[in-house]
Amino acid sequence: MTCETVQTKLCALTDGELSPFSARRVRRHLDACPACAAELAAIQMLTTQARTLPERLPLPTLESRIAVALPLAVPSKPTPKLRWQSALAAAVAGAAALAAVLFLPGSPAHPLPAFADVESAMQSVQSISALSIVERQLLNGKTTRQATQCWTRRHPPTQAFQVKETGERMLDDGKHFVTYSPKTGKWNIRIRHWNIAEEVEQTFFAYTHPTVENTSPGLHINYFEKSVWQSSQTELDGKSVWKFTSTMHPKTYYVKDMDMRKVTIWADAQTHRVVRTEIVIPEDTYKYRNIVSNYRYNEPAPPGVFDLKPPKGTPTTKRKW
Amino acid sequence: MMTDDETEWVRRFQAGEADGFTALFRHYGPRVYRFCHRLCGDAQAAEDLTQDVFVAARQGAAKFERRASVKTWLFRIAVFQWRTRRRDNRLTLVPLAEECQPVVRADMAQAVVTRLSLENALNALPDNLRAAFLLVKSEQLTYKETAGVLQIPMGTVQWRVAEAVRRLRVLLADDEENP
Repeated sequence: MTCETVQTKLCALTDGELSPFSARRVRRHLDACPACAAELAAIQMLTTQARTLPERLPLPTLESRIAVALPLAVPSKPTPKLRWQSALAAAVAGAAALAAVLFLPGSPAHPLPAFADVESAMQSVQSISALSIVERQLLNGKTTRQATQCWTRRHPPTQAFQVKETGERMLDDGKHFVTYSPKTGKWNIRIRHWNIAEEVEQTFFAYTHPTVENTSPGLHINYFEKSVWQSSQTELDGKSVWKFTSTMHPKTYYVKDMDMRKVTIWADAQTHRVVRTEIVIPEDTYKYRNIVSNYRYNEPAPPGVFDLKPPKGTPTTKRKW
Repeated sequence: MMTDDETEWVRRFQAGEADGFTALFRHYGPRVYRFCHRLCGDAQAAEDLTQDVFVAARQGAAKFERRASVKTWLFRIAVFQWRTRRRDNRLTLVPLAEECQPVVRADMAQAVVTRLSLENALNALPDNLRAAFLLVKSEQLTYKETAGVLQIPMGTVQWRVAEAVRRLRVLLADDEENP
């Protein structure tokens, strides 16, 4: 097969629409033709992008709006009833439909929270600051607690962390994980060894850049199987919130299978933005709990937060991470 | 073709029963809306179009013979209603004042520097290519299902999808070269 012929079939190949015989012939050509193989890769990437376009969800009111409009629609083949019976039946059906979509649990007047709405709301955020507290109960019975103030921005995609108890500061641009300890006066640069953003399936996230996806504390659960959320409406600190809970199982190769974790996310019922996240590992040999709170959106970070760079000539320790 | 549940939903929908619509909308409404949004590129227009779909589905419910799936039935109505709206909008006279005034968006500067997303590139495609691409690549319909939705031969579906991919790659590559 010529390249010209093969390239006309690549799209159908990615769509699974070639016959087994044709697919085999095309693949034989691809095995020997880097140019066509590259074409296939590009089409596959576009296909993946098309399958992961931003989710678009209707407003909860759409169902009731349509339900109200429906009784006015005239069926093309009216049933052989007396006119007044048809009118009465339509009126009853319309009233029942209206009642069903307005008043029953899960109806538009009482919609079940949808996590996709939270994802959509988070995708429009440009920056986040939040307080992350990690509590661990170690094997020896001791407990540790670390509070970290975190700042994240979309453009350029950067994260900064300040460990509040010790005063350490860290900056992560996806390539270099840099820490500075005022106590020791030392900079420590860790070079990221891999980026697994493409390998994991996002459960929820605020950003699309791999940098902040990987390290944003409490803002993403990107190492886990996509889970079904249990949702409910409740109150938190006197405000109406949506609450989502799920038990997640990590699927990346380096995370132990025993690390099942319970994830709870609270989102503002009005803005749909995350207001609190809690991750608990109940099954591990040690207890772990990470609570992220005090979310603030689209506010400028304090001056210098993202400027954490080792001064020229400063002694540093380079480690592969 | 149709599951037992779908058959029951459609039967109730055709009979004008409230829970028939509820079940149908709960199961297909978000997907129809998503498809309409990607066709129209606008939330308000997508809502209007989605309403058109279900109203038209009710109006033509008796004609639905259940040989096609509910999915392809609703998508076919969506494409038809969308084309009707597009045709009507092209015939709409625009007041002269609106025609002459430039549209100045507050985020124009941001839009200039923002990368052309796939969604924006899709809006630049001709309608027939966009519909075929969205049905196959986004909604993951087979070529046969898409042919049923668009009422065209399967070979034409294959050509339109491939042509859409080719044009999208040009559009997106242009953006990468000229950020």
